[in-house]
Amino acid sequence: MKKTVRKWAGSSVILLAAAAALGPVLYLLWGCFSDPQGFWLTFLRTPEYLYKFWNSLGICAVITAGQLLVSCMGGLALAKYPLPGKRFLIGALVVVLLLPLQVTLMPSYLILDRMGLLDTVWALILPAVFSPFGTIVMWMTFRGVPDSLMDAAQIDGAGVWALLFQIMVPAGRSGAASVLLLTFIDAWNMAEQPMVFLSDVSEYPLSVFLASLGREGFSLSFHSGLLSMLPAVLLLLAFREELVQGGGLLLEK
Amino acid sequence: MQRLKKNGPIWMNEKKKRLLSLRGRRQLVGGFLFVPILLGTVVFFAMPFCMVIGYSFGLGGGQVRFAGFANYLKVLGSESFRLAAGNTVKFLVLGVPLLLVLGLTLALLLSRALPGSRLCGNTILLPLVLPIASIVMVVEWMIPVSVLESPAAFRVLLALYLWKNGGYITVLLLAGLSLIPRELYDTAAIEGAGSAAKLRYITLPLLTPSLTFCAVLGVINSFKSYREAFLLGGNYPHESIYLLQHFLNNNFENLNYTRLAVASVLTALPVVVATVGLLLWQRRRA
Repeated sequence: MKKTVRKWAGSSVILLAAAAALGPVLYLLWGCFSDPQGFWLTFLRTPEYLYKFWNSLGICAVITAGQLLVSCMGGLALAKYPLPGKRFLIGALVVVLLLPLQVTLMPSYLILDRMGLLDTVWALILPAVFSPFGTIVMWMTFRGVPDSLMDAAQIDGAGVWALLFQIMVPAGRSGAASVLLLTFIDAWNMAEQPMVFLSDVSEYPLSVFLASLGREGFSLSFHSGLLSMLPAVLLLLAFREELVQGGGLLLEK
Repeated sequence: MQRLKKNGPIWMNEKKKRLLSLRGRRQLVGGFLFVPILLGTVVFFAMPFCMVIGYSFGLGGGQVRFAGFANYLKVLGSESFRLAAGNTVKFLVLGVPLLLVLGLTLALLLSRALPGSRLCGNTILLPLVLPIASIVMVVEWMIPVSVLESPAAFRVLLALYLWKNGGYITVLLLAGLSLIPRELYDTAAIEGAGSAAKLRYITLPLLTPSLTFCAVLGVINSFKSYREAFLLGGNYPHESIYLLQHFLNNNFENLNYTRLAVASVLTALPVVVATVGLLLWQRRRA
């Protein structure tokens, strides 16, 4: 008796959490399908939206690809190659990683200003590509890949790139997928960077643009909200397993 | 071509080639792989951060008069900085422990395969990927403006933070739980340990690395709550959710570089001290 009560209490907590996670999505879906025409209106009446959607997607794709490349290279170097002062380098990267965005914003602004990159997409892309996040994750991931795998590939005469992309990245797939997914989401939700680095409001990516719609554009914001959700949700569906495994891998040490 | 690579570049003399042993070559390759992130961090962070420190002492943007700590005293004395710092610390101190408790509770329940745990496992990561703009839309629908303009705004922001990050923390802790050997629990059960004792003496100690990792993630993400706060309240939200990030952002808009630099350094300082301390402590323990 006591057991069943506890079981049902546990179940209801779980279902409550599921409802909380699913609720907003259902609300958006409901809002959209109570006005099916809105889908077309979003695209036809506001070509601006369509332009922003693909533009933001392109920026995020470049950021994710760049960050992935930099992280896989850096992670492999830290995990498997002798580097002078490795402990210090790792510590320094961790410190930079933990600094809140608002602290790194002013340094980025100053250097982008010197380079004349403010008000261009590169201001959004470059600092994000060189974030130490992925390097740390890939370092932890590659550490778990046995040395023998690498040695075997090298005896077979594999070059650095072949070693990295044909052996190591597939072996550390879950880590790489976690970096891909989390970097994309972060870029897709970017808010502070465009607000600070871009002075022209019309160049803002989708994330900030949508928020500026506010209550006025409410009927269309359902549809634009749902559409802007799609890329991230699709990526999550594609890489869910890897994300969960990646989480486990990082903790194993 | 292949031969050339094996024997080292052609411009090296015999002695150098011999010195370039296997270890040396590995060092070169490692260096090559590490260059992008190193350069990126130095160019986009380390170097300009030194400039920021310069600004904070009055040594930037044309001024060259060393101002000592005068700027620091001015910012530390300002009402808005204290409000922002206080709110940010309050958010961290409340948010991170609550997040860990929430994640641990859900992970423990999910690990028991109760009815509904499949559904929960499949949906729980959704909040992580929903664009903030969509979330804010839902919040604006659910919660009246009057609440967002009252001290309760702080609780709304806290709830959003827990809702958004709870899922990922749960998944991470669930992965950590699955690494604990089952036999430990079986042995404990034979010895007559109840579930509270199992939690206290088996689960929590063995889960410490996972919990530490989650706490670090929680801290990183609590700083990202500014996005929600901004989208809900704009540049000047209710004072209960006026965070350090608002302070920094507003000084950006006023182009007040000195105040901005001081606030950046003051925000970075505790983070750097805590991280370095944690790393050194971990190293001594290892």
